[in-house]
Amino acid sequence: MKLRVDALSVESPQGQRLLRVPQLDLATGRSLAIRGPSGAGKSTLLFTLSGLLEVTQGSVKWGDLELAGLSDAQRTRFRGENLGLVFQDHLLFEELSASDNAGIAALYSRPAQRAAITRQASDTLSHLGLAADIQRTVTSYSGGERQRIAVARALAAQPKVLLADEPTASLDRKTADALIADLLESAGKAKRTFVVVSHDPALIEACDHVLTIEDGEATRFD
Amino acid sequence: MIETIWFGLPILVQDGLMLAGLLLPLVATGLICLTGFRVAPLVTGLLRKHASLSATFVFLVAASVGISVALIAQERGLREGTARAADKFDLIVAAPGSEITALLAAVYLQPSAIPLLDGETYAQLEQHPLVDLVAPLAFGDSWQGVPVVGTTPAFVEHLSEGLNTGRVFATVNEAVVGARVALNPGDELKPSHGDGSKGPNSHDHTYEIVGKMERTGSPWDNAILVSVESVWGIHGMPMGHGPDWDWQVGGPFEPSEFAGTPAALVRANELWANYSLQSEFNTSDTMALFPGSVLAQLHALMGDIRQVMSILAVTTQVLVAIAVLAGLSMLSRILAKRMALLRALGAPERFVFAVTWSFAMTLIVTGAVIGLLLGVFLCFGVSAVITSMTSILVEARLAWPEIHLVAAFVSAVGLFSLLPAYRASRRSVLTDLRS
Repeated sequence: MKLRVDALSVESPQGQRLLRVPQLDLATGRSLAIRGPSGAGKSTLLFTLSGLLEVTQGSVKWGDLELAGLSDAQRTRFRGENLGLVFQDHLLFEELSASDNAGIAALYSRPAQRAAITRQASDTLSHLGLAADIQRTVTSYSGGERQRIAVARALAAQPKVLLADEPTASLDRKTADALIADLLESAGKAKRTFVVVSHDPALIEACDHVLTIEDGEATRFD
Repeated sequence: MIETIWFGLPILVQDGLMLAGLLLPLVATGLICLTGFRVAPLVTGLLRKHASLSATFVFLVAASVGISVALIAQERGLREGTARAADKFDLIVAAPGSEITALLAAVYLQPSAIPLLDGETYAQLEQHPLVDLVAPLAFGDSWQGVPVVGTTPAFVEHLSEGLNTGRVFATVNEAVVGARVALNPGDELKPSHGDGSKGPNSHDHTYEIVGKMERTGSPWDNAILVSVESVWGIHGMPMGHGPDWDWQVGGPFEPSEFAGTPAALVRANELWANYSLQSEFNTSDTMALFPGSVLAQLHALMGDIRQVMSILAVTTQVLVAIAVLAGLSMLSRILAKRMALLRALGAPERFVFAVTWSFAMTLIVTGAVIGLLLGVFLCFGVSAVITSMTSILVEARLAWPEIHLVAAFVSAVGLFSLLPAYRASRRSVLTDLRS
């Protein structure tokens, strides 16, 4: 799914400008790393692209769908049907097992999709090296394992787009490299558009494009 | 038309339909909320995660339901128990005074100073063609706090319908005990004057226990029954018979030798005749009362108390419901980040709503079911205590009214819980996600 951003402006409810992106184009199946100093507006852009933050001015188009005109419920449906999200601090359901976390979308998806989501979640966990004992609650997993469970959750519904916020931040180098390889491989295989916020030079280097944000303004697109 | 059909239905069907009607809004809401979703893994996960908080909610609901159910069932059990205790007392004839005092004294053995019925009146009753049974009920003495009542062997037969062990007293030295008295045939006792509260003041008379009555479920289970002649005799009064008395106890009595009795039990030979006797003996010199009728007046008074108790029970449940809802609102804030995460991942608002509502309903329904069980145990416990204290057999059991009350409570709270669930589903996703 291709992305096109035009004259995007995001403001806080108090009217303070949080982000400005004049233009951004990303073709289907390509990857984009968003980098910049802390507090520059990287996560704000990611949240805006996911529809969690409303567009104040301008346009964010995923394929032919304009996010700016959608209601909250429509944006939620769009996320459910098209996006996979990976958060910096995993944000897993601590009380559930790895398997239930990865397949959580099966709980609210259409009955016809449930089996496929559960199967995909299980396959992804297995692919990410978490095949054994996935009925344990996630509290018993290490940080790296939890991040992989979060990735499996994001990919379970086979989304067209994967958005990730600092997915390697809490991982050691070896684990981070393995996760980067998995993310890019998965995106490449499924022709999945991949947008990632990161400080990790290895991850930034591995992406097709890099967007730099400084002080709430997109300053460079390579 | 509908009324005719409704009242034509068997009671069980009416109660079942009422239960279904009370639960219908809850079931319908549940179906609407939950159709298409699988909330069980998340709800069980949340219950595990917030186990102590959930247990507190369940306890609150269970305590409220249990106490309300027990209150209502107990009141009904007490009403039925007091009515059952008066079953054998068709008509009481006493000297004019308070009907309630006479009832309490004659049926429930709570004697107080009441004027005595004279021998002439008693003789009229004995000789009346409509009277099947008449027996004096002379109280005033006791043994270790157990009332000793002077009466006739015929009354013992009437009350107990055959003894459990032994035989009915036949002489002035013999006695029969109620089922709960800790004496058995062969034991002996010396009665004290009054209720024994003024210290030992034993009469110089010994009774031998010759029989034990069947359980009657009335205070008479905790009484000692002796011949009225012996009661009169040990108080130095005429013993009811002329000089050629053969010492066989029981009526008929000689009016001039009749020392008086606080009350007399009368049983007519036909049901309708009781009314005739009541009318005939309700004069300026005598008072005739149906214990059942006086009890009905008391129950009417208790009916008001019952209403107050019912209002109290419902108020308790409403207060608990408000507390539960306030708690759910707080809980929805605790769950906010999880719910925001679900919505961020693409779960529809309705799913978040369904999870929050199901979580609330799991706590409420679990609390209500435990409360019902708690109510049953409370009923048994309190009934046993009341029975032990009053000897009135109180058998409070869970019945349809209590089940209807709990169903109404669960249904109402279920509907009210829609509000916190709705608010939980409408919170700002990003704010909660970043919290």
